[in-house]
Amino acid sequence: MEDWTEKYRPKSLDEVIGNKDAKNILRKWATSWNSSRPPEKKAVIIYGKPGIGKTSSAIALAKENGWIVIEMNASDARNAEKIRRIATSGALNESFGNDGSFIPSKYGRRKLIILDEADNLYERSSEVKDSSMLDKGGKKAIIDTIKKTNQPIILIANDLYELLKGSGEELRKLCIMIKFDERQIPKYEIVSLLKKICRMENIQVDVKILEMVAERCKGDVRSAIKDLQSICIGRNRVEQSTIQSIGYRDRENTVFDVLKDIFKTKDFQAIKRGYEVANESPEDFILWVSENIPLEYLDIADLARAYDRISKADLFLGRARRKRAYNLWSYAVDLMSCGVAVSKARPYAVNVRYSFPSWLREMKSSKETRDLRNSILKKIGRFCHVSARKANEFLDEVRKMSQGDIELACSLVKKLELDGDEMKYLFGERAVEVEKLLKKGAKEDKTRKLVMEQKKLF
Amino acid sequence: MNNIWIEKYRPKSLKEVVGHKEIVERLSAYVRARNLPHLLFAGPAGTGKTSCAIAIARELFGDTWRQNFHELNASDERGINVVRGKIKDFARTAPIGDVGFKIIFLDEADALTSDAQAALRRTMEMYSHICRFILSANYSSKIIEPIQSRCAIFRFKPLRDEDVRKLILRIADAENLELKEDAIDAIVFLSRGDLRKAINALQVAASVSKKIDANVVYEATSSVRPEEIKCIVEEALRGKFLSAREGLKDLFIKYGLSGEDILKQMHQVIFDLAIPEEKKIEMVEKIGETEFRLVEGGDEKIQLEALLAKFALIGKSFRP
Repeated sequence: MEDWTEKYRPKSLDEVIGNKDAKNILRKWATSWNSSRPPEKKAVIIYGKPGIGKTSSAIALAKENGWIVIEMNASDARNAEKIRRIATSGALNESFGNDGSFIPSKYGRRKLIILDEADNLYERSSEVKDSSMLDKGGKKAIIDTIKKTNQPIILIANDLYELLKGSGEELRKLCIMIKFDERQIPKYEIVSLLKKICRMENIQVDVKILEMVAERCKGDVRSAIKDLQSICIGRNRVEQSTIQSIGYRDRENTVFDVLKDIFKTKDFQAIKRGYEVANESPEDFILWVSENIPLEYLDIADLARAYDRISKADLFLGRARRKRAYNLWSYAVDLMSCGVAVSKARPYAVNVRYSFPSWLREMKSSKETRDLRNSILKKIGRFCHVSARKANEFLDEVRKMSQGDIELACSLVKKLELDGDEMKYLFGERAVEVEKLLKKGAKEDKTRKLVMEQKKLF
Repeated sequence: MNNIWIEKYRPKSLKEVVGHKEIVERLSAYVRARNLPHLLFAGPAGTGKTSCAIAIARELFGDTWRQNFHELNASDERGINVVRGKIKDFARTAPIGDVGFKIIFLDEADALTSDAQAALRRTMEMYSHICRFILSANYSSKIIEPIQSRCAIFRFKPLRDEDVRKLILRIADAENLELKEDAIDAIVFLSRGDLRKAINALQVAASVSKKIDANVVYEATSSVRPEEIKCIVEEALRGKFLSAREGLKDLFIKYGLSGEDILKQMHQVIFDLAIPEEKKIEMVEKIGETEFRLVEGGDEKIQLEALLAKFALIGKSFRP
């Protein structure tokens, strides 16, 4: 029996259900390729949950525009070498058709490179021995290719963070980012799609079952079709009583799903299951939860209760870390997930966009400044016979006095052996002045020395 | 000016040390005898503990004091490795010169973990023939008893107002400052017996103007942090949790304060708030509980956020 998800893969963008806005952006981008010069953004990133039509849309887009599709997915190794080879054969120059025939680009059509599962590059792995099987330098090669290409590229990913992290940051500037949202797929459209398939397959299925399947898939249309097919195998009539045979699907839950369950429900089972699938360590997860508590829990009493539990969970984590008593993690996780869930008196009707722990982001982005300050504090501490921590107590004072007294600033540069960045941090706008004075001073010292030596000679 | 005054005016000898007459006398006797026991200096910040230690070294060793005086800050390196590594290495090297021992000055020794302190006591005995320890701590009770019993203990009290005043006048004179009477009062008041604070305040004020009155002092030293911390607490009490949390993040990231620093300052700020007295005590209790949890190994960011949430709840209980 043929796989229905392939058999009924949409033939055009219109057949992809839901996400109208996202599809329109895609179309607009495709038209921008109609002029002789490539558009400013030569690549798009389509991201979103599995099974909601990302790849289908990409392929359908190519069909609508008469483009040839060159597809790479995680089943191919995608190291720098391989990507470049595909890219140079496809994106940059002439190319071969899928049947192997040579198509000079002069007469040929545009080729669309689809890089599926772009967030799953195995750039480093200890499990893989053969390094040619790794995706080493893959991200960089993708970025280079986008910069050089004359052909459209679509990256597809589930996890945008994963794709953009590290060297992927540059993709932000190079690509149009298009989100496919499972919430933008109305349930009734899924039901009518399932009905259509049943009609084509000539099988009678109770509409209650179709609704149930559509409900359970949570926007994952592909899994809905798979579920339907598995119910229908070997039958031409399906009654409502068959419903128990649809098993629970372990879908790739993201942190966001768990957060939603925690904040919107008190369903311990769903929360615990979701947490297990989301695969975050409790030490990271606690940051996710605490970041988002005040966004959802607007009532102060709820907020305080939730934070109380979070802080207790944190204590367990601390103890676990210190004593290597990782058994404590399970209690901590319950407190930070289920504990926070039951902290609300009633669910909130607000529609919150849960956010990434800003703490982590800012600690990362402020690392340089913090290192700089620490280095200055160490120097001041050594000079003033105090610890760096104590030096922080009067760092403001040192700053003020040296900004008010340029002579002091100059002498501190020598005494503390400050470098350029450290001077800027301490002296602010006056750093330039200080540097000039120091240069001048150094010159004068030199001349003075020369004069002295001259005097000695005569 | 070409130096930080707290260093420029650090005493070069014991007799230059401000205040602490009895302590200085006894320490001078050690220097005259050219021998000393292990010492433990206990007392609040800015009262002269480090200065006394350095002065002893200068008087004992003369020109070679820097080679024979090894300074270590326990609050920067507080683990057992420091004791087993750096400290032991220095302790067993031979002294330079004719005194027969050298000095390890272990500043903020109360920051050493108890493991590290336990490891230290053997080192103190083993190398006592060539090495003396001077430990400084805010509270002697934070030093384990076996170490206390191996040391002569000196308690440094906050300096008296007239001592602070005398020193300020001396520096003002040396730096040609025109210092109004009310400026001196202001500095004395701000410093609360902490000479480091007093001298820093004077230098900051002097960098603004050579003629200094109380206004100059207050303006120059008006510190951002207590204001900001007060703001954060008030926002929390008003139920504006998100903005309070933003402020808290700044304290950690922009100002590099530790959780304990912030709690300490919150504690001070609370008594200036216009809220019912009973609520203040409730808040103190919560702050104490939070610090207790930090000691127990809690994460400072999460615990302090939780504290802000508690403040918000307290605020709600008396807000109309």
